[in-house]
This record gives sequence, structure tokens and C-alpha cells, in this order.
Amino acid sequence: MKIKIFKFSVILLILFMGCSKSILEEQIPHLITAETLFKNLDGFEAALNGLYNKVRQEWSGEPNQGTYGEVGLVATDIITTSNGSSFGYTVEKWGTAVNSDDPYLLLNFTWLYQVVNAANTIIARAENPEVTLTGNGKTADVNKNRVIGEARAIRAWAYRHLTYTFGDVPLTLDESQGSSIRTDWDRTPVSKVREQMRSDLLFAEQYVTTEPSLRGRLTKGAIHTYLAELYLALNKPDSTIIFADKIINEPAYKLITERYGVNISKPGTPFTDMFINGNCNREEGNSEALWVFQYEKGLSGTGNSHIKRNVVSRYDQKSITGKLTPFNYVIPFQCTVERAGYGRARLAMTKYAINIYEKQDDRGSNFAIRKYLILQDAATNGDGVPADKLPSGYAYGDTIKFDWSVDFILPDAATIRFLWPWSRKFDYADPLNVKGSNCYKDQPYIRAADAYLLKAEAQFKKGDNPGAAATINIIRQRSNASTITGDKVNIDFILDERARELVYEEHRRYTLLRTHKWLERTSLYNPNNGGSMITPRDTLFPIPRKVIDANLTKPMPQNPGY
Amino acid sequence: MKKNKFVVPVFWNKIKLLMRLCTLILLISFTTVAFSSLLAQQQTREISGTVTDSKGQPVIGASVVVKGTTVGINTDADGKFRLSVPDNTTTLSVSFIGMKLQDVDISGKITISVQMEDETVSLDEVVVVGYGTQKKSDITGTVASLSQEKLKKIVVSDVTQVLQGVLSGVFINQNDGGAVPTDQSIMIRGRNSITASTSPLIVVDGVSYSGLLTDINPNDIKSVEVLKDASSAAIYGSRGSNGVILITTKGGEEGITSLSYDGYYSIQNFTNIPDMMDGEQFYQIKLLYAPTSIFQSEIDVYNTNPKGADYYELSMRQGSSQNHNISASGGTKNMNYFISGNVVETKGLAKNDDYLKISTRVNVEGKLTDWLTLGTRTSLAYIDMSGASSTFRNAFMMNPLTNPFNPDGTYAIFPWPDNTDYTGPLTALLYDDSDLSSQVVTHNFVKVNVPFIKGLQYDLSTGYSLNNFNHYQYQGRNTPNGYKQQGSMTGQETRSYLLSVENILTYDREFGKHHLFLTGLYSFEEEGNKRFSITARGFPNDVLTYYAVDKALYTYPSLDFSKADLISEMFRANYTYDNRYLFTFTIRRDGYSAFGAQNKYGSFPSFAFGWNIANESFFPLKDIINILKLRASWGKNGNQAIKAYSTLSRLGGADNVAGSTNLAGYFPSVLGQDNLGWETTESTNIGLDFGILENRITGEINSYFANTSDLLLARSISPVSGFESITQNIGKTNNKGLEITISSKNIDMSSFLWTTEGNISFVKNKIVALYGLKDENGKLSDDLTNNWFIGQPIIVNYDFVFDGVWQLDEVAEAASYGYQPGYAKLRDLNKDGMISSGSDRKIIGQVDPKFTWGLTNSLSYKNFTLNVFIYGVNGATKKNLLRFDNVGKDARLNDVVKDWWTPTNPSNTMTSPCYESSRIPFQYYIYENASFARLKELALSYDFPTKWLDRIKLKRLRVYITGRNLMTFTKFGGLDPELEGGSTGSGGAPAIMPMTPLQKEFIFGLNIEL
Repeated sequence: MKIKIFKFSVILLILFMGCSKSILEEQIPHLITAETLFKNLDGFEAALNGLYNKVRQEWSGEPNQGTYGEVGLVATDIITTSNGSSFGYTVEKWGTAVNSDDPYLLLNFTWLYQVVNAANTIIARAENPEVTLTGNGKTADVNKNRVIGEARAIRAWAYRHLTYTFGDVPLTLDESQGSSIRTDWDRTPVSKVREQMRSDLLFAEQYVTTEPSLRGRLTKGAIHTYLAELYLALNKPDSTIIFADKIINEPAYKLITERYGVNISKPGTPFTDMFINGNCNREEGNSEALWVFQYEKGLSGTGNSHIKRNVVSRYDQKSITGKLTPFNYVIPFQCTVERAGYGRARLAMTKYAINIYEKQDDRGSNFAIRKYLILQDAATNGDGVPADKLPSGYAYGDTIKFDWSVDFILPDAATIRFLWPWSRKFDYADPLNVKGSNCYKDQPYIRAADAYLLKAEAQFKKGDNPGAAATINIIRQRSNASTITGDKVNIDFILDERARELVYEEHRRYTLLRTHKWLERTSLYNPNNGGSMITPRDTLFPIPRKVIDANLTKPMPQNPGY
Repeated sequence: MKKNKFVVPVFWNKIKLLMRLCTLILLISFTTVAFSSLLAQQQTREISGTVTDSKGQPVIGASVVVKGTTVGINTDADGKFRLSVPDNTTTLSVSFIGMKLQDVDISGKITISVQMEDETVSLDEVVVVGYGTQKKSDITGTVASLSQEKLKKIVVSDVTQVLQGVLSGVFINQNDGGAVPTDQSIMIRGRNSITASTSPLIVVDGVSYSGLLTDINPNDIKSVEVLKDASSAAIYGSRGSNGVILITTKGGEEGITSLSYDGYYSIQNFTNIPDMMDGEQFYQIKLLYAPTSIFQSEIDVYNTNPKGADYYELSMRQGSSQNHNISASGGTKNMNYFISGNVVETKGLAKNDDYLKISTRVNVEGKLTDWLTLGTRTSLAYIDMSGASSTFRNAFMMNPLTNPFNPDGTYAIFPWPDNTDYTGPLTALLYDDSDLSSQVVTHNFVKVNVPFIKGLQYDLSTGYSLNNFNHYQYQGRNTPNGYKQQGSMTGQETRSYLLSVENILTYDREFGKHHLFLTGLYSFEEEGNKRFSITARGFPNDVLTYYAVDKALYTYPSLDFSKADLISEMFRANYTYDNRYLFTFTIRRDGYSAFGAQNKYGSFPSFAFGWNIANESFFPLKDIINILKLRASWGKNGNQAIKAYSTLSRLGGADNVAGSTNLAGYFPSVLGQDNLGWETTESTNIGLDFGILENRITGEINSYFANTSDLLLARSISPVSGFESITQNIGKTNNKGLEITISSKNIDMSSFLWTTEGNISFVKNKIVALYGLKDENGKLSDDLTNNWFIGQPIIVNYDFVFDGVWQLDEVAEAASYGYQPGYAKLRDLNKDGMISSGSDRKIIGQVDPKFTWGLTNSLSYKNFTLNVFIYGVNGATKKNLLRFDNVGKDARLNDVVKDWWTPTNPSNTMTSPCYESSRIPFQYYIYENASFARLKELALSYDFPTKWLDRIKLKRLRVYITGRNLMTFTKFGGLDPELEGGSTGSGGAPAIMPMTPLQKEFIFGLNIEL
């Protein structure tokens, strides 16, 4: 008996031991690792989708209601903070308010290096000779070069943001591995980083196609735009002209000069048609678009774009005094689809930027910049929205004009900023959710118009003023602005023209830094977060303290003045 | 892989088989009970007698029963009894708490007198030590024990309340108050790890337990043991380094049938309610703070009702709780049982914060033959936490100059029409919220006393617990989210399980003066869960709430999964010579699936030695000192506190879209390290147990030293890598401490008893090494990104020093730092004339306490007992968030009443009322000493005299009133020094997030035993 029981226990033990090895091997039916993903073309396409998801966060925002892209937009001659997000508060004050503890700058830095690492991972894995990327009716080599090309272009995109924001930054081209944690990063000089960007873009330029590999991805034209801009920064205007011309001469990238699309029967202009929901994509007729960020309501891959709520004013909060009884305040305006729903105006155009247009210029019309609102009844408001409330002495149909005669100075601007003109490039509202703040409109990120302005800048740099005027006039004529002659062309005119055409689209801060005009023009035209507050120190932001602190074995120098 | 699939069904079959057996045993048990009551119908005779204690004093309430039956009675106030017994009765059993059970022969007698002997409590107590029990006198390690008798005295709804302050070295971190304080963590002997969990392993009836301690019915608990030192915890190897809590539930006892009811009703209020500004005060501060940001709607509210809205009154209520417990237990020679049912219903202080728990337990053990015993310990629980409530935070911080109601009396979605970012906090009460969970914990076992080999026993023990959580919430169009999204829902279904199978062989035998106790273990454990979640938006209407999920415009389902396995082998040898010399050796080998391929297995040895000095013949002071035991132990323990899949580099979901097509996407999300292994703690314990004057004074002194290496450290890494942290086995800590426990019977007279129990625990930890990296000066690098400093306590506050407020006569000096009067004065530590985060921050105290203590005094006079328990914590430094300017930019949020600086009020505690004065350019906090002493419990109880009870056939009737958290002595100015503190918003978001304070509670209770 006892022997039997002993035997039984022993057998039991062996039974358990026998299977112990496989039990302790982790089964991962639900997780994606680099090993399980980077096996075939589908895996690489999914990794590219993930990469574009992160890139798109430039507009999709970060906590505290800002967006990563803000760092390239605000505190410039044409865009000011209005009702700050976290970064807005910082650049409202400059001075000691901008410091290496700023949480926004850390988030921004981290986000961009996440993109760099994801791109590095895709590049390294695609170069693995054991992986074959056949599929999609193309050869493995074609697919491989296109995948690597897109990833390298995105890597250059990230370093563009990094160098303009922080100056010299560590250059890393390897996939991060747990086994090799570095604590001794160096700050690579901007010139060397740009050399890498140039090589990445020149590689990508060969393999990325004229039409995007998928809607929402970048095109050859987008890469040419970055090359044209990079060569301006490298002071090689001839190369800029070569790459700008590749866009200008590409028939597929034709400028929009005629009305088109969903609102063709309604009043409007060719220029503003490009930004209307349903018109933004190349497939929808926007031949000028070179890269269009994609958003869609109700899908898991949808972004949560903050850009609309950050640009549209708080018109639904503005109280207006009645004509008859001066202290009878009423908040008249309801959120409607036509008014772009719910806005929080974290950013605003400066008075300078609003006044920069000729009267007949489409780009300054009420289709492009909202400058007034009309009191409307419920039927006109539509989508189940109630009627606007009438202040005493007003009737439906009355126009309330915005007043931007006095420039915007925080924090006392609360009273004026709620009815401040806003650029309508992001106007969108969901008819089912008029008070929702998210924007699900696809958004042109790079347009061919930029190429003309980059080319004009290069021509001006070379002393070819008539050529520059001719290039600029193509852009101006499309919007009914008057044509100019070569003698009017100077760097300030080019910057003004860029402002007229590309406000909120170009990274204005980078443009001004590239042309060495940021300090001068921001001081001059942005009394709110420019004026006398800014100094040469502020052309670069500080390296976040966490980056310096985590460099345990090698001191990392901070930017001067911080 | 194939084998893996094969093994699980085998376990399943075993469990199924055992469950069937258990059902059978249950049936048998009820039949037995029925028979025993039939027995009582036989012919009877009467016997009477007196029961006295060792000093000849009458023993009141002693239990006198016919041996082997339920026929019995309690002695009266004079220690006398009179009992009808079946004619053929020969033996009576007499028992009383604290005295030895006596069997008295009554053959041919009609009166008897029984003198009871005191039970030598400390020494012969049997203590659960994990995979077995031991006499307390034989133990070599450090085990703190809470017996059933102690547990009976304390009224609790939750076991952690028992542990706090009563057992030395056990520290409970409360993170939040509220109806059901689920957000708490237990720490035994301080902190060894920097980032890994400090939670001890919890073992219920021998099986590891993954649920919440709050889910265990305290009335079911027989004893709680805490294994503190390396030697006693080493049998749990890879999970022992944070200590082990062993909970044993009750069983039945042969011959003692009992049916009892325990119930209480309690009312609760907050211990501390911050004094928030009313509308008038808020308006005045707004005038100073942001006069251009006063909106018309605020002025309108102010003009009609200057007090404004009181969101606290609107969302809070007086809390109440009721608890009813019925239990039955009993046994015969071959089987015993304990059955209980429990209902707890709590109405928390926030409206709708409701909690209902119904639980049952069946513990049955049956001896089928001389050598085979089967049993089960099974509990079922159903928990309903449905209903959403406005959070404490929202109730306090909402702008009072707003309208909480619409004109028609419904809750306003946008109480502040000028700023629709702030939505009505009360609308949460309108959510349709269903939060239900159920739990099965079953432990089934077979014990085989191997015939022919005396002392050899084989146990097969299986544990299975299954938790199901269902949480559905619908936010309709009358709530902010529902309004914006046309109805919005979230739903979650989670199923989690813990399965364990243990094979235990024990050999326990005495050979003359030698006592040998050997234990061998082979076990397997698997923990897993699967969770299905769904969110949906865009409902056609609110009628069917979340039941209309199929009609929603947008649905987002997701599925989570996790599984981890542990395989263990353990051997333990205990050897005792002549009750004087005690030796213990253990070794355990564990394999854990979540570790890297090279480091799946770890081995954990320990040794311990004990010497009962008082048992030596040469010991001179036997008359005074009756216990004196010296203990020493050394051992290694592990901490496996990483989740499954931690070694793997992973990509997380990051989908994109193209037009209206969803594109699945993945993005690197976690950086893994494939050689992760155990965190190892090596510790030494030296202890002394003593008993003086026949154990009138007993106590224990322990000191320990622990070194932890290969920390599972989530270290920060440079964001240049694209990641912010990685878990590595890196770094070392040191932890040492001293614990003293003393209990004494101060006065012990026949009608008056005064006992005192006190304990104090000192803990001191420090970081010894981090990454082993040196800075440019060759000094070991601290980690400033995490505030970890070599040579300093593990968790410290590291911040600017707040030196008050710049005053009007300091204009020039303030200006030299870029400040103005009314702004915060931060100390310029390096005196370089500017404030910078790099050089002007310093360590401001440690967050963990330096010592904690508990003191319980118990006074009994006749049938009254008064219990006073005071708990104290010293040496912790915490943020006082109530001194943080919370009104924020544009003064949008309410705040506590503060002594704001103004030119006419030169306050030095609060800056001037403007956003910049306390924030620009650096964020700082104010730290205060969070030491406190708290009257945790004051309880008065009355036991009805037995002579009354006999008439109504009751064994016991007791009523009591208990107050909890009645008084707090502290200099801390924050919400509650006992809470972990709350968090703060980042960046421009000003919101502090005060937690719900602890509750003050009055309990009225009743115990009845038949």
C-alpha cells in the first residue's frame, strides 16, 4: 500500500515536471512584437500605419488641449496665443517661464524621438535580408525601397521639427534595444543632422511615388517640398529651384484655379474650396494637395484632432450688450455647423496677419477668415440648433462685425478674443454633435503652393527678382490678388506672401528662423507674445531637463541662456 | 505546448471530481446534524455543579456539554450549572476561553465541581506557518499572529482594518477614503523595492489569493498570521520578499454546535471637511484674482444668491452601513463543518456610492477512513457597486457662482453657460450604471495519513478562484458626454481566474526528545484573465440605454488577455531537541513564466535557529521568567512583481485611416529586456520572545537587516531612445528595522481586568546603488528624473524650499530674482542670485514613516468591556495640497478659504491672489510633517449575564457601540495625514485632485449565539 502511494506521488511529480518547460514559455496570442510583426509586407504596412498615426498627432494633440504642432506655429508674427494651452502659457511670458522643466517641451521632444525610433525600426527590419516583401503585385525590391523610403522621409520630417525647435540634437539611426541603453548621448550639430535628412530625403525621393501609396501618406511632391526647403536652409538656392520645379512641372500637382467640389453651387472661392470637408483630398479633386492628414469619425484609427477647436473663436461665449438697455447682456450665438461648431481659440491670428490682404484677395475674404457672424433664427441655424438669442434692439439677419482694431494683449483680452477673426482652414462640425470639439475633417498638410513660394525665395536669394515676382504672381493671381513686379520683392514681402497663402499650414516659426527674421518680425507684429519679451536666446527652446538628467555618464550642454 | 494543453483538462477533472465529493460530504454532514438532534429525545437525568478557575473563583459562562453532542449549557454568575443529560452519559466536556478543556467523568454522580487550569497561552498556541502548522514554542522565524479571540473583539468590515497598527511591522497605505476603500496597499517591514510592488503574498487556507482583502468576510476568519522574516517566508520563495499574510477560515469543532448571528449598523461622516469658499468669498477672490474674467452669468448668480451653489451639500450625504452575518458550525468524530452567510450594505458619503455584498461560505472536512480525509473550503460572493456618484473632487472644486439646476429642477449639463468646459458634476448621478461582480473561491483537498508509516502524510490541495466583473454604464442626453455624443456607453466583461495544485508530503514524528518535521512541496499555479470591453456612441434615443448597443452609430470593442504560470518545488526541515534547540532549513525553487528565457528559475534557501533558554535546567530565573527564546534566521526571498510579458519588446495599437477605411497600425510601445529575473532580498532576523510572571507580561523583540539586489527597476531612460523607461534587474537597497511588541495583564481581579498591548516598528531604508554609472566626477550617479538618491531613503520629496511670501519691504531683493511682493519666495540654496531647478531643489523629508505604533487598552468590569485603540505614524513628510493655489488661471475653480497675501494683509503662508504668484516660473509644493496619532477605535460592549441567557436558551448575547477614527492629533494641515496624498495636474492644468478623506464611523452592534 505505502509503496503504491509513493509510486503515485512520484508519477504525479514527474507528470508535472514533464510539462513545466512548455508551461513557462509565454504564449502571446494577443500581443504584437517586432518579431511577429516584421515578417511580411502586411506587417510593414501596419508599422507604416502606426508611424503615420504618430505623425498625425501633430494636430491630434497632447494632454492639456494643446497640439504638438503648436511649437512651430505660435509666438510668431502672424499667430499668437489666445487662451493658452500649456505651451501657450509658456510663450505668453517668455523669460523664466520658458525653462527646461516645461512639460510640453518634454512631451514634444519625446514624441518626435518616438517617431524617429519607429522609423529606425522599420528601416532596420526591412533591410534584414531574411525578410522578403513581395506583395501588392510588385517585386520585393520595389516594396522594400518604398517602405524604407517612406520611413526615411518621416525620419527626416521628425529631425526637421527637432532641429528647428531645439538646435543640435542627438542623431540616432538605430532601433532602440533593451540590451543597449545609452546614457552618453551627444548633441549632433544641426549641419550634420541636416546632412542625414538630405540623404534620407534623396533616398525617399527615388522610391516614393507621385500618388501616395495609400490615401493619407506622403507623396513624392511632399518629399520634394522638404528638399526644396532644406536646400534653402543649406543656402543652396539652385537645388531648391530644381526640386521646386519638379513639383511645379508635375501635371498631377496642378494648382487649384477653378471652383470645384461639394460646395460648388454655393458662394466661395477656388482657394477656400480646398479646405472644405469633402474637398481636401486628391481623390476629391484637390490636385494641389501633396500630403493630406486623414481623420474619420467613428473608426478606431481616427485621430482626435484639436486643431479646429484651437483655432475657432469662442463666439458661443461672447456676451453682447443690448442697444436699448446697456447692461442687458446676452450671449447670442449658438454653435452651428456653419460656424464650425465649438471653438476654444487657443491660437489666434495677429492683427497684422488679418490686415495683410488686399481687399479683393480671396485669401482674406470672409470665406477664408471669419470676420463677422449673422444673428440667425432656428431654421437658419439648422441641425436642431435653437435660435440665437437676440440682444435688445437686434433682429435676425443683423450682422455682428468682429473688431480687431486693437491688437490682442493677454490676459485682459477676454472681452475681445471671443469674437476675434479666425482662419477657416479647419472649419468643421459634426451635425450630430455641434458642440463637439473634435475635428474629423481631412486636412491638407502640404500643398503645391508652398513649392512656388520656396522657389521664389530661392530666386530672390540668387538676385532674380523678376523671376521671383513671376513665380509669386502665379500664386497671387489664383486668389485675385494684384500682380507684382520684381522691385517689390524682398524677404519681408516673401514672408508676407507666405503668411497670406499658408497661415496655419506652414510652420511659421521654422520659416522665420530659416530666414533669420523671427526675432525681428515677432517683436514687431506680435505685441502679445513678442514685443520686448523675446531675446536671441528664444530662437531655440531649452533641451528638456529629463533628457539632460538621463544622460548620466556624460554632461549634455544646455542651449545658451537657459 | 502539447503537454500544456493536456495538463489543464487533468486538473479540471480533478476539480470536478473533488466538487462532487464535496457535495456528497455536505449531504452527509446535514444528515449527521439531524441525527444528533434526534439523540436528544432519549431518557434523561439531571446533573449540577460548579466551575471555578485556578484560583478558586467562579467561572461565568463556561460551556458544559455532554461529550460528543450538542447538549449543553453555560455556567451562571456564580459559576454554577444544572443540566439534563441522557441517562447513559458518562462524560461532560467543560471549556472556557483561555482555559484548558476538561473532560469530567460523571458516571454515578449528580453533582460535580470542576477546577479549570489556565491555558499557557503563548507557548502552546498552534500557529499556521504555511504548508502546515507549528506550536508557537517551536517556531524559529518571525510570525505575527492574530487569534480568533483577538479578532472577536474587533468590529470590522474589512480585514485590513484589523491588521493596521495591531501587528507590528504591518503598514497599510490608504490611498483614498470612500464607501469601500479598495484603493489600499499593505507593506510589511517597510520598502525593499524602488518601483516593484511592496504588496505581500496573501494566502487563504493554504492557497494563494489574488482578490481583494475586502472581499473576505471577517466573520469567517479564524486566524491571521503574518510571516515577516526571510526564514518563515522563504517557503514562498519567489513571492516571499514582501512578507506573507496567511488567513485561515473557521472550521467546526467536535461536539460544539453553534449558531450565531453578528450584526451591526453604522453611520459615517468625513473626518475632515475642508472649508471651501462660498459664492461670496469666491466672488471677492475673483475680483482680486481675475477681475476681467468675471462672466455675466456669475454676476447673475451672485446677485440673486450671494452664497452660490453648495455642490458639497448637493452631492454628499450621511453614510451608513449595515452588516448581517449568520454562521453555524459543529462536528462529530468524523466530520466537521462551518457554514456562514453574510450581507453587507453600505451607502457611502457620496450620493449613489452604494455597495452591496452577499457572501456565503461552506467549510466541510470529513474523515472517510482512518487514513483518508476529504474537505472543501468554498466561498461565493456577489458584489453590486452599481451607481455613479459625483466625485469628492468635483463637488469641492466646481465654481459656486453657477446654477446646478435647470429652471425645471433637473441637473444642469452646463451649470456655467459662459464656460461649457465645466460640466455639471451632479449629472453623474443620472448615469445608468451597473457594476456587478461575482466570485467563487474554492479550495478542495485530500489528506492521506499514509498507513504503516507513522507521521507521514500526503496532501493534494487544489485551489480555484474565479472572478467575473461586469460593468456597464450609459450616459444619456441629460449628461454632458451623452449630450455631446448622442448617448455614450462603456461596457466591460472580465473573467479572471487563479488555479493552483499543490502536492505536499509531510513527515512529523517525535523520537524521544527529538522532534522531526519534514515538508516537501510540488506545486503549479496559473493566473489569467480575459477582458472584453466596448465603448459605443451615437444612440438613437436614451430609452434602452446600453441595451441598445447594437443600434449605436459607432462601437469600439477590444479584447485583453493575460496569463502567467508558476511552478515550484520546496523542501523544509524542522528539528527540535528537547524543546530547547530548534533548527529550520528550507529551500524553494520557483519557475515563473514572465521572466526571460535564461532566468525562469530561481532558488531561495534559508536557515533558522531557536533556543528556548527558559527550558534549560541551568536557567536561574524560572520563577520570574517563564519564556525566554532567542531566534536567529537568514534567508533569501524573491519578488516576482512584474506582470506577464514584461520581458518582451512590444508594439501597441496605433491605427490610422485612409478616407473611411480603418488601417490597422502598430507602434513601438514597450522596450523589453529579455534577461529579466527575480529581485532578490537577503535578510537576517534576530528575535527574542519572553514571558514574565506566568505570562502576565509577554512580548517579542525583533530586529532585521535586509539587502535587496537586482531590483526590478522601472528606470527612466533618455527620451532619445523613443521610450521613457525600461524595467531592468538593477540597483540595490538596504532596509533595516526594529519591532517591539508587549502585552500585559495590568490588573487581573475576578471582576476587573485591564490588559494593554502595544507595538512599535522602526523602519529605515536607503538606496545603496542604482545603475552603477558614474558621472564625469567619478561619483555614482543619482537619478534626478525619478528623485532617487544613493544613500537616501527610497522615496523622498525633492523640491524647492518655500520660504514664505515676498513682502512689501523686500521689493528690491524680490526684483533681483524676478519676483514682486506677494509672490512665492523660493530659497536660493546655492546663493547664486537666481532660482533654477538644477541647483535650488533639495530633499525635503521621506514619504514613508520612520516609525509606526499601536496601543490597545482593554478594560473589563463585570460584563462591560471597553477597548481603546490608538494608532500612530511618525516621520513621514507629505505635500499639503490644500496650500496649493487651486483657483487657477481666470479663477475658475473653487478652493479652500485661504489667507491670501494682499498689500494690506502681509500673509506669509499664501501668495497673492493671481495665477503667476505661486507658479511662475517653477512649480513647487509645500511639505509638512505628516506624523499623527489617531484614536482608531473606541469600543464599549456589554455581555448579558448567563443566568438571564439561560432562560431564553442563549449561549451568548452581546451588544456594543464602537467609534472609529474619532480623533486625530496632527500638525499636518492637509486633508488627511493618513492618505497617500492625491495627485496634481500637469502643465497648465491647475487642478489638484484631493482624495476622499477618511470616514468617522459610529457602529452599533449585536452578537447572539445559540
